[in-house]
Amino acid sequence: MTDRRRRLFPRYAAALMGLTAVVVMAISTIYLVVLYREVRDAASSVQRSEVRVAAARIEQFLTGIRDSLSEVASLPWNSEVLSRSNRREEYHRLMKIQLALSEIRWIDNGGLERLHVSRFEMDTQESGQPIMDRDAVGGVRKLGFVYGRPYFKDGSEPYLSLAISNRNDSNGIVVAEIDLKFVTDVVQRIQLAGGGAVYVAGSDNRLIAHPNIDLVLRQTDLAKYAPLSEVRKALASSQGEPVGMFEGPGLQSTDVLLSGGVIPSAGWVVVAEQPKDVVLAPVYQALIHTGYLVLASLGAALLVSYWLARRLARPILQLRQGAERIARGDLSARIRVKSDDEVEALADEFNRMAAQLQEYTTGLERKVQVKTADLQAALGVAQEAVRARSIFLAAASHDLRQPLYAISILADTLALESMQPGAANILEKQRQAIAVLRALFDNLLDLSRFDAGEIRPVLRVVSLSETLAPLVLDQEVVCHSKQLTFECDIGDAWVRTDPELIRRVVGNLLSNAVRYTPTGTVSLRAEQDDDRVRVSVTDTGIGIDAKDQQRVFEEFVQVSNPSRDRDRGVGLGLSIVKRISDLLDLGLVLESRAGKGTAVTFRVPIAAGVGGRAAQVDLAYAAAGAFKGARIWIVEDDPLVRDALALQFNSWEALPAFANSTAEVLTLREADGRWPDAVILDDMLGDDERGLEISSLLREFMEVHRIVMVTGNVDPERVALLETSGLAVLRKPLSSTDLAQWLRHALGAAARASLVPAHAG
Amino acid sequence: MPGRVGALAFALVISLPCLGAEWAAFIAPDLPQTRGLFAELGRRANRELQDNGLELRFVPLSDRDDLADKATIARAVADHPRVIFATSTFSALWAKDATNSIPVIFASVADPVRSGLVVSVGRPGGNLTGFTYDIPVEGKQFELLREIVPTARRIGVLEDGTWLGERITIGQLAAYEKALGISIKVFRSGSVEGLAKFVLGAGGREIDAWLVPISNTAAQGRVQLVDALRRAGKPAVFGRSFFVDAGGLAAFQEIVDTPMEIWHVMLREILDGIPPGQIPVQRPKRFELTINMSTARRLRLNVPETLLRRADRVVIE
Repeated sequence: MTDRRRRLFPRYAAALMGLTAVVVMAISTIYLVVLYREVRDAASSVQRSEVRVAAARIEQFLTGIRDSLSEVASLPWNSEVLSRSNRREEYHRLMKIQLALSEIRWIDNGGLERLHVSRFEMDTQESGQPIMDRDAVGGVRKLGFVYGRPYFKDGSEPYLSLAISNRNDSNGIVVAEIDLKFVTDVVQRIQLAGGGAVYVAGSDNRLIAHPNIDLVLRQTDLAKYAPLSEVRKALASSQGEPVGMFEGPGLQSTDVLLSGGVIPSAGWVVVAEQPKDVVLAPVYQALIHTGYLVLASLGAALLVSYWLARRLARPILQLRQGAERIARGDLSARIRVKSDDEVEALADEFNRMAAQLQEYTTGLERKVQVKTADLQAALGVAQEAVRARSIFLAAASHDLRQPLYAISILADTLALESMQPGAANILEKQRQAIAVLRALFDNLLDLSRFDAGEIRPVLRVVSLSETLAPLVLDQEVVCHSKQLTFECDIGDAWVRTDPELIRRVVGNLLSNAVRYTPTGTVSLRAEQDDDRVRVSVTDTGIGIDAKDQQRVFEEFVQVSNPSRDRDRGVGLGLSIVKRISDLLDLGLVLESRAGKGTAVTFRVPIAAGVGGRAAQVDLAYAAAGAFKGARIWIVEDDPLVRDALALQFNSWEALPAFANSTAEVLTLREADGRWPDAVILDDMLGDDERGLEISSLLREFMEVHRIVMVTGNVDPERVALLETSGLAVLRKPLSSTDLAQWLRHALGAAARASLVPAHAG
Repeated sequence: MPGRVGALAFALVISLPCLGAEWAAFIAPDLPQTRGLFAELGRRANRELQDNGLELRFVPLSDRDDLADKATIARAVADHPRVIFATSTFSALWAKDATNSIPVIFASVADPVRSGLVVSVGRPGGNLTGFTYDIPVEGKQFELLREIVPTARRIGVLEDGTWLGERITIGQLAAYEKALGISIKVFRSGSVEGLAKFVLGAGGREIDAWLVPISNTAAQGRVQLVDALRRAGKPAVFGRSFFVDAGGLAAFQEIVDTPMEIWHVMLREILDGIPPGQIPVQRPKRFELTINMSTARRLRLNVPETLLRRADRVVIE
């Protein structure tokens, strides 16, 4: 909330304050300039007026003295009426009137003093002292009156001599000494605001009158005082009018503004000066006020911008918060802005949008819920169906396959017996028929298992030739009977695969090849191709049209058997092939040309570094009495399987013993006094007893590899349990080869392990 | 350690006066008129004193015992006043003896140059400045005496032996005698009784008229002196008008219009940093002639009309 305001506020504040400062300062500057001029002009006017007054008074002062002297001098001194003592009395009277007169002398034409009247000294008469030369007296007489240059008596007090002649008195002149400290009295009476002063500079630029008499007594010389020079310069062209205003240092240290005027008769300059800061005080005051005004304006601008920022930011922030809530998925959120402007309109639009979004989302969710419920129901039905099928398959595989395998094992065992050639031939055909039945049965059930995902490949390292050997024998027989040439070249490669499934693939392909090849050749080939073995089944049969080539992998499709002749199969073979190919990643390829034949190839991974061992070898071992005397316990509840296995082991001269429960196993142990060399455990026994549980007991006393689990179960959970038990697992139906292979492995290890009879009874 | 403490204590004691408020010394005899001047100066210079944190203190002199007064001034100087005001030539001289750094502003009846206070009136030099009443008005006073009493030939001068002496010199007196055709005899006494005794005594009887120049003794005993002169029936011209107000015949005196204002301005300048030696000594520019017509009549004197016209003040009792 605050970060937004922080960003808006400085921006508004800067803009408003800048604008305010510019406007206020512009107005203030104009005001100050005008004020400065007015104040200066007013001060100048006042100063010039004071100068005029002072000059007039001083002029009056001088004129008064001169006129008085003139008046006294013009008395008829030459006549007999007025005596010399009258002259003295008259001079004293004059001095009483004119306080500035300190001495008056009567000097004859020869320049000698005839009478000296002093204000404070003893008067002298006829002293005859030479005061001035004759020419000077003549000059005075000629001019009427002459002012001398101001001088400083005793080195400090300013005086002025005034010599005056009398038209009626041909004998001499009158010389008066004027005490100029009285001029200071004149200027002292003139008051200038703010400690200003009016002073007088003589024609020689010496200070002759100043309110501070000390400056005068000090004989202050203003010859080098620049402002006075400026005043004099300006006065030269002002026709007697006072001039102003000038600036400079004052006589008493502070900076001053000054104006000046002239006293024409004496050639003196009257100056009025005022401290600059006093004169300009109103301007400085205004400047300070302006400063306050600027500060106040900036403060106001700050407040206004803060208020504006708050006012503007609040609805925007509310808008943002609302939008954020909506963005977080809270579609019920509504933005409440009451600013009565565009922002409120925007908020309304947001709310409308949110409402529509909520409505749409709610509808969508409802639909999804309905569909999900439908799908879940359908899934439930499907899962139920799959479960039902699994239950059926589990039951079927156990209940239907058991007798079939018993027949199969019996037939195989019977084949080992010597019998009449005719009977042997029949038996052989019977075995073939059993094999077909087994295949068909297996196909049908397996197809279901594939679809249920119950079949998992059990990868083993096997010899390809050993794995395919039974098929080769079968096909040789079949081909021979159909007068087909059967070519087989599968080498001696070791592959890593599920032999059962590979056998199923090749078996299906070969039986199809034979089935649809009226004449010619059926061939099975395997050749190494990089890290794989490429297996191909080819024929010179009727072939498949290009349009049918994909369909042949579908269930119950027999492109060349429109009459559904059962002898030609039921149409499941290639479907199973396709599924196994997908399962083992065989990369099945079908190439066919109608009327020319068909070639199907797939590839199996080669098992690296595997030495030569084969089922045939295991069988040969068995036949050679390798298992002779081996003590083998078979835990199996099905009597048919027990009989078949008994026959098989007896033929290998092994010593089988049977049990169908834990109790019987313990009885066997009791009877034998020791544990066997190997145990074959059927997982599914009667009375809810499981082979896996018995294996737990056995593992207490026997090495793990001596125990093998046999199961016909297709329940995926059970299969997974068995496969993770750590025991070897053989699947029903058991073949002699598988049995021999495992037994050889178990006993071989046992032979080695027997050197250390760790767990023997 | 004790030595160090002692040194510290000594330093504290020495610096104690410095720690007090700064001050200016007004050195004068403890008289009503000097007290009045003291008060007036304090009033006029109030702002300068306050701005500089100065207290104006009255330092009273006995005006009788020179040694005691010198000691008083020395003690005052030891207290480091910023400025010293001295109301007499002698007190200014003693202050000058006591310090050559503290500014001394004086009032002198005597000639400040001849008495050794300053080098010149225009540029005093040193640490002193002030104003002086010294204008050679004695000639005028003798002249006045002759004009009022034209018959007077033997003129007696009553001088304060303890206070003045430098004002009228023998050389000047000779000049006056010659110019006015008179003989002048000087009588000196340090007391008003002594002066009155001269007037009423045998010596006084040979005197036609008296001149009484300004002196402290005469001023303080003005009534007594005027009374003695009346009893002797002798005319006298005085150096101060107040003798005329008290019944004296006539007086001619110089006038310093506003002495305390002069001191005030000088104080301001000194506090502003101007050395006293550069502040010119001021002198009187006004003079006053006073005549007591009642006394004149009593003495059966015919005061010339022209003289009466010249008088600034005529007293009629």
